[in-house]
Amino acid sequence: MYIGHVAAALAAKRARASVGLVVLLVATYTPDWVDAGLCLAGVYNPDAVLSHSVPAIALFALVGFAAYALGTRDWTGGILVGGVIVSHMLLDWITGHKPTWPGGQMIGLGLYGHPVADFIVEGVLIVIGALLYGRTLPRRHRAWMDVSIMIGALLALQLGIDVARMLLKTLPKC
Amino acid sequence: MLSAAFSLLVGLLAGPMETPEADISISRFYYATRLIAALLVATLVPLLIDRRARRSTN
Repeated sequence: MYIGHVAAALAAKRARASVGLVVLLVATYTPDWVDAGLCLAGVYNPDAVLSHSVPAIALFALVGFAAYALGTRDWTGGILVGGVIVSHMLLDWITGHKPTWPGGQMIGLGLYGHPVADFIVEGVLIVIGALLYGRTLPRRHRAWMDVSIMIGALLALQLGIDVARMLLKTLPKC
Repeated sequence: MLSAAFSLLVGLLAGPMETPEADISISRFYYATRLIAALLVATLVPLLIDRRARRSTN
């Protein structure tokens, strides 16, 4: 999943507005940031065991929870940050094939092979997330414009990646 | 002009040219940079829109 992960961060912002959106966005992409680091280090595993497996996600969620909770004394916010990290794994099970355990089974619906279906699923998530996020904005005249801009920009990004997937046979991560 | 830009985008996404003497580390750096760029875009776009929305309400 690409932009659909942003929807989890936007929805989490609605759940606890005091948590910064930047924290939630970093949390929602934590496994992919780890992949980028592993790729740079030359130890990237295409199966993503070190970044997307259940034990890896559990570790990242624990670290995310501890870092946020200890840094802000906001334990509920820490749980939310950990939850957003866990959401990455759950959402990736819709679009890709991800590992459960080192040497274990790969699971997922693999929507990446069907870009149109992927765009529809991620698009629905984006719209839901942005509508929830819109409730965190102060009320003002034409407030729907901000939500519309958010939805439009995120859908455009998602469309770009799905079109690239349709045009290219493979789109390797690393 | 538009088709040239589109071809450039597809070329960037497709990856570096595969040659027998291609350096693996250059290829790895390319893919890592592309992934980081994609993550930055996915993070910064909603952040900037959020910033604009909250500023315009003040």
